[in-house]
Amino acid sequence: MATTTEEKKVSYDTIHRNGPWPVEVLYRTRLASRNASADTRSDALRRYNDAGEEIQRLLQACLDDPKKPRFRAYGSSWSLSKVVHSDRMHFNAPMNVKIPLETDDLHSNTRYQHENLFFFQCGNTVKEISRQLKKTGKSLKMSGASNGQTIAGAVSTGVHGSALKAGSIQDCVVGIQLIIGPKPEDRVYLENASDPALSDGFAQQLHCRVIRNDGLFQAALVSMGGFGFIAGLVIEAEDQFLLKRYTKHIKPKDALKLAQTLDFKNSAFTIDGEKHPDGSGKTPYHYKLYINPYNQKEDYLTEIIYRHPYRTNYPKPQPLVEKFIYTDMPGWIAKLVTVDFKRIPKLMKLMQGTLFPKVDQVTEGTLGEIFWDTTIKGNSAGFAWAFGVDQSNATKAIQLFIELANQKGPVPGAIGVRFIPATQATLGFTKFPMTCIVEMDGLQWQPMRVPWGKRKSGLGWRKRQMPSMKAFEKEIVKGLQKAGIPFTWHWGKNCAWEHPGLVKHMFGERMEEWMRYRSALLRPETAHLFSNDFMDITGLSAYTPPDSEMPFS
Amino acid sequence: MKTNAIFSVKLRPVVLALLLAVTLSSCYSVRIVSRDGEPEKKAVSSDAGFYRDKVAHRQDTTITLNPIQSDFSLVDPVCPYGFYSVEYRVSLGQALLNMITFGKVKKVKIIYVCNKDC
Repeated sequence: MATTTEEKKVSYDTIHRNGPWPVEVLYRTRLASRNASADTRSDALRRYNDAGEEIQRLLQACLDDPKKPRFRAYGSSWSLSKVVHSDRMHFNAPMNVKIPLETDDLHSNTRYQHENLFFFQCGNTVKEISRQLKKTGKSLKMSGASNGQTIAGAVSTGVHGSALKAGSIQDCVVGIQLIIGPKPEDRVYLENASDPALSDGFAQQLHCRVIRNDGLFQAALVSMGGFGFIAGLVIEAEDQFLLKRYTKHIKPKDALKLAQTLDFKNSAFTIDGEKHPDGSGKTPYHYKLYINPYNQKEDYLTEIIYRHPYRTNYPKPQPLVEKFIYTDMPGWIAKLVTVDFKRIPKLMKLMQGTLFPKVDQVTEGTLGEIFWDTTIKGNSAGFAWAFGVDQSNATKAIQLFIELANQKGPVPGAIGVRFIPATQATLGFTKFPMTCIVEMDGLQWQPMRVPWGKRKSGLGWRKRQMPSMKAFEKEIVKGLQKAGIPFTWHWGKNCAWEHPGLVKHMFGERMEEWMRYRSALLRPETAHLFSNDFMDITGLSAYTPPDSEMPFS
Repeated sequence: MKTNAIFSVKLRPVVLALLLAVTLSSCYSVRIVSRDGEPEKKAVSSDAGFYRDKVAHRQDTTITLNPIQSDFSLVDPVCPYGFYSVEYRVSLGQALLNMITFGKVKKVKIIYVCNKDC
């Protein structure tokens, strides 16, 4: 039997130190032991269903509590925003059953091939999944820049890479199993009605009722945990392939033109060995830019990756030795920049080798090998911002962000630019036909009033202090709004989420649509159970009585 | 000059003790990490650096061998699915102790992370 331990009155923190935040009860569920004498599939189903019953017991405990605590699951703690924080939190990383699918499990009208579909429980990490898929010569279609996220966390917050054709991680999901309450009918399996994957018979083996509805499925994909406990996901994989990664300097003019058009065929920037016979450039699998916002004279750096057929004889791309900076160093830098923030550009120049990948590197490997482990460096807190704009606004948005960093900052971070095609998820932040994601990762700072930080202003001199992180986040939001650039923001990253009407501004009618489907699936008490402060702040937690067109609950 | 001499004589043991404390406790470590392994994760991140999100187990013990014993194995009781990483730390003092005792007394400091049950 699955067992859960409870810890009361604890502090939750992310791996990037964006907390700590108080938690009333922290649950950790361990799966039932394996039965060595049973066959792999029936044992996996037994352990999976047993864990589901345990989760329902915990949900019932929350509903029975007169304080009406709210419940939310989390895995690897990679989200920097408070998207997973709640009164009662459930650590689901150990819940990593993999259920092998059989031909009979597929829906009679499915377009999917049996050998490409895989069922994973929520706590499997991207790395575990890649390893599992590799055993059968398969691969995920895309991943984020690293591999430590649990699949439920990655899908429900919209983790993405920069794969120009493959989309975000939620776009390879073809079925979701949710636990939306403690009752037997609260175990549901969702799919697109127009694109079914698995049979009702399989869902019955998970003790689930089946709901096939395109709108509901697409709303539940990027749900941030608001649609219930994500117990398992059906993933479509593809045949293993190799990625060849190049890091090169690129002229800002060429980089921005490519960002605006993604026209690699007619670009002045080409990579030897990745050209068509006529000499024009091939379209890569992945295109990313690294920009130091405080040195506009230097070239940008690009990470450009091309897809190749899989072969076995290639050198493994992971390094044999990884070197780390002193644990305390990021902390010292964070302190230094708060004392004298005008030195940030100089520091960035000094640290460029650490902040950006090495130039003129060529590596080759599978998706899981190229986007490999990330190790937390140092003991200081990190931040990450990431907003998405339509590709046609890429240059405008990048320039606006660089101007803000220079005029309102400087702030301690480097800019990255990535590109992702449109997601099917209702609240996926990669909603534009081709979303250009402009992001900054850096060290958190606390502003400090310093006597030597002066700037001429009008007739006199006034003290100039570093803006707070929150103030700078508001500046970005206001700047994009003022410039008339439609944008979205990554749910798992830092943002001025409390900015009035932000989600409505970003998603328009999609926001109400998402909330309508959520209300149709959940009951008022379970809608409350699966809400949290983040959803209250962003206006997503409101429950509206479901209309008769959506008889899901 | 005289003051300086007294000062240095009085301070000499202190400086020596400090020097010994620093050099004997100064250590280096070697960590080997599994490329394809998946570490067992902590529910709540704590610590700094490499171990922030990983459940780290620590072995800090002294092994004494008898005259006819040459080496030893530490048997791990907590990692049924193997190791994700193992870090061995040794200080100059520990190396000296090993040398002085002709390899019969060994201070062992190991930090290791188990693989997740995959």
